[in-house]
Amino acid sequence: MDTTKIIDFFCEVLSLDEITTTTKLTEEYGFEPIDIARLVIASEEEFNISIYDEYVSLFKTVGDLVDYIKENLPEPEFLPEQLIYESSQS
Amino acid sequence: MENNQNEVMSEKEYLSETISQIEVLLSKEMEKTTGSKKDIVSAKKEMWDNAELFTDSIFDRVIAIGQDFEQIGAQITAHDSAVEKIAVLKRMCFNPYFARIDFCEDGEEIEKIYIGRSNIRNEKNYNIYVYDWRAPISSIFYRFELGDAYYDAPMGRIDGKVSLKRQYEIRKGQLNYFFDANISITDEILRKLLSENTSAKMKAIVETIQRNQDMIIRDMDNDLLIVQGVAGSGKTSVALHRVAYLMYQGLVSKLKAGDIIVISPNYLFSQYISDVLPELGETNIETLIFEDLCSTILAPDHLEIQTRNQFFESLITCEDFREKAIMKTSMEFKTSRTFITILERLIEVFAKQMIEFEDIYYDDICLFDKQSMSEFIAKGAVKVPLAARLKTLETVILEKLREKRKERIVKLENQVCEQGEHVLEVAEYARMLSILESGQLLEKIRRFTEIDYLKSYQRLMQDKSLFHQLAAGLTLPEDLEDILNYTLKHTQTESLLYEDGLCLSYLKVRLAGNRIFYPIKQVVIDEAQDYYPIHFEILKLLFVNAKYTILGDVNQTIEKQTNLGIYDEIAQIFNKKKTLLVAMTKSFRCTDEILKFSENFIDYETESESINRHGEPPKVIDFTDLSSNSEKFLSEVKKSREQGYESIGILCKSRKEAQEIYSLFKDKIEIKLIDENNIDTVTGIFVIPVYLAKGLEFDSVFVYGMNPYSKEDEEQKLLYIACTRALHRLVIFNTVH
Repeated sequence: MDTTKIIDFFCEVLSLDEITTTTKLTEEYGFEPIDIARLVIASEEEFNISIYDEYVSLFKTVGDLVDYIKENLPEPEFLPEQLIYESSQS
Repeated sequence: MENNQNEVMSEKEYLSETISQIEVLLSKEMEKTTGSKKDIVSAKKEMWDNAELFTDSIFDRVIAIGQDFEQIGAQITAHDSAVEKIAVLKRMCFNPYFARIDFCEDGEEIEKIYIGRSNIRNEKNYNIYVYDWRAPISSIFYRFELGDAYYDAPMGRIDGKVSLKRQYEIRKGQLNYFFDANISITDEILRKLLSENTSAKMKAIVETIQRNQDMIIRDMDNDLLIVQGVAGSGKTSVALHRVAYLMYQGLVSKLKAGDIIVISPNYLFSQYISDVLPELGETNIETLIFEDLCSTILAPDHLEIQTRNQFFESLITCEDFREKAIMKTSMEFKTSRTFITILERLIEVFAKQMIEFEDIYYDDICLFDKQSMSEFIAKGAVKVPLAARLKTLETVILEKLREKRKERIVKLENQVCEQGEHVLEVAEYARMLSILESGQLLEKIRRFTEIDYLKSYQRLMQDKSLFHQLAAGLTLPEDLEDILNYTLKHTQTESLLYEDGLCLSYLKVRLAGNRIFYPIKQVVIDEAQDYYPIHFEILKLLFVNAKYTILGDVNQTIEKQTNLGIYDEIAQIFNKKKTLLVAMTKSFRCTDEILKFSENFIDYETESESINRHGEPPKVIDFTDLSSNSEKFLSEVKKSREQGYESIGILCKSRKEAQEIYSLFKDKIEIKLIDENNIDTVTGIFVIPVYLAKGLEFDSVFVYGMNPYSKEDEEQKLLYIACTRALHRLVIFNTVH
């Protein structure tokens, strides 16, 4: 999963623009506590993962959350249809 | 030296044959990497055209591969690399061998053994043109004169006779001269080499390795080899050649470059010796200083530690007599085996007395109470470090918490509904509350599942009853109270004292374990006299599976009292099956006159002998102060330069003094101030504090700011180190009366 894709998703959820991995998850940068909860819920659905609430306060930047999502993404499953689709494309 | 015409002819023939063979091997290796014959022909031509450029180190600099400390063990074997082979072969083209012995194995024919830096053999008929200096048979050259001799081959001892010992000077592939020996000829070459000026960096000494040095270099029997060597006896050279030898042996025992570590006293020294191993064809060997180990251990704790050199500087420049005394005793006590016993006792009671467990409630239910936590930790396997047991406890608590979360979220959602403010986003607001309370709970849990090493250490210093409980039955220093206060004061500043960094490293390795260095099989430690028991205890914890080579000189300490007893202590700490202590008593660096003069400053516990090289007697020039006598000072320095000495060291007590001299003279002569992080070359005139100059050498040394008439211990020790840095000329400027 691409970092940019995840960040784009965050922007979409919170209607934000111009955030990067180093953007701090604080009110000063536009992140209210409720925004973070929204982001967590939406990410769990979108990426099919669980984010443990007790770890959320450890995320200091957008990048920390991105890394957590990346590390916890489910293993890609073997999808024969997709493979057939891809080979027919090439 | 006259050589028989036929002998000269045949030697020249052998040389050109060998060089052709090396060129064949070189082409093959180059083909592997470049693939094109045309490229090889032009590359070879270029190589000979640029012969001047190919001093021993240039190639190695190109191929020096940075090694990530974290990835030790995953390194490619140096000997596998074609690039490295090419570098070695190119160097061998210019100087394929330096010696020959004719050896007649009992009952066999005489064999001519040419010795060089690496093996050269004809791959078709397996003829060996040159033997690596580290090959078993080459040991004969270093150990025996004409007559009976033997060497230890893999299949056992081989006896025979040496009928010829010959040494060559070959430059750029041309035989300049050779001579035969019926006495130890290495001495002649040695004296010639020693009378030359020192070079910018330490050089390989394969041509002149002495018998007892060779014994140390090739020792494979001992797990702990301790070498006491007087100043200038070639300890460091021997250490590095030993590393090269271990690597050569490693071809058989599968030792990789990443399995060896060299610990040197400071970065300046590391740079100074950085050419030797590549010159011997070995790259990728990790050289680091002790502080690197501590920072690796303490890195996650964000602790800043004073370096050993910073400690020296603050000690030497300290003018308050009382404070200076505390600095010394604090260092001595906290690095002693007594203090390690106290730390060990602390570790024993750590879980019970230092960790403040708290009951953990979630959703009004007690997930884990203090008592069960304490029992959980006590039950854990003793082999598992405490920090790991605490981490497991944390996981167990969090798992329990997560089991209850669903119910909790429902309750929180009800709360949000009841408040009626966020009816459209009930789930989001409930999650927000859950995130906040769970975060606070984790913080509470981590207050006891994560060890705060510094805080525990501070408590040890502050809580007198705890300290005395742990120190029961031990002999404590008289000024203990002062030491504890001094330590506490410094642990509250940004940068920790050097010795406290060591204690915290010890504590952390014992409580958290450390597996980074497990793969290391050989550890070489230079300037070991500067280390305290705690250093060796830390090394023992880190390099669990390693064999050790430890080199030092008990006469070259500054702040501490050291005698030969330190080696017994080291042996006791490591407690290896086979330990050997060897003494190197011959000094190769200084002239007789300098050596005799220097010995005035030390007690005669260790004997030393010189190589019988004579020079100008050292002199002491007394004057009142430097600024009004700067012309006199300068004229002496200039005189050294006129005498052709390339490296001139002005040695002071401290960096502060070095800075003063530098400022005074920088506009009058070309002079450089050396600090730890810069040393490109030591040709020229340098100002340097003595503690940084350990292990280095200069053609001519000027000592400033130390009183040669003083009977004070520290002064004498500094003078001994300073004076023994000189190869040819020594002048002491004394301003203290």
